Amino acid sequence: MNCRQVVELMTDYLEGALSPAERARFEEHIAGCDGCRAYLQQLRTTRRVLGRLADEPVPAEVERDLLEAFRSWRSSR
Amino acid sequence: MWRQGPQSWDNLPESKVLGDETLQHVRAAIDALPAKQREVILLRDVAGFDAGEVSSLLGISAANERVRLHRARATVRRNLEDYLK
Repeated sequence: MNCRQVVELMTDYLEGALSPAERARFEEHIAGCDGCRAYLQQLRTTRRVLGRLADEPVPAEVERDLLEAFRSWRSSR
Repeated sequence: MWRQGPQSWDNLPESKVLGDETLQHVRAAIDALPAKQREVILLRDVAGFDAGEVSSLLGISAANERVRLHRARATVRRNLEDYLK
């Protein structure tokens, strides 16, 4: 697994969606690669920052998107 | 692959990483995302729904949900990198 492939799999890794074999190869690469390890850590921090936004008011446009998504979800039931 | 590897943010003060200005930057980055990516990152990472809840709410596959999430997180990460350096 090279760096590019590892970066592409980072969300699958963080979301627990890799197979055990892929996960092992991913972790093996990360253990030996400072750049990928730093990138993964940045993604974890990014998630932490995103979680803080929950305390903030939702922008109007975003609220509209969510309502629209919710309506189309309900109408598909 | 890394011509210049990502910098560690671990030594930055929490007050910077989670500060109001940082949050404003991140919010602007989310607002600028394509709508399909924005919905997913808001539901999953901001509102904190489970991945399975997000994909069923939006009527998309789990794999598609992760693709959108991956792109959205990558963009927000890049935006944070520009801001925090």
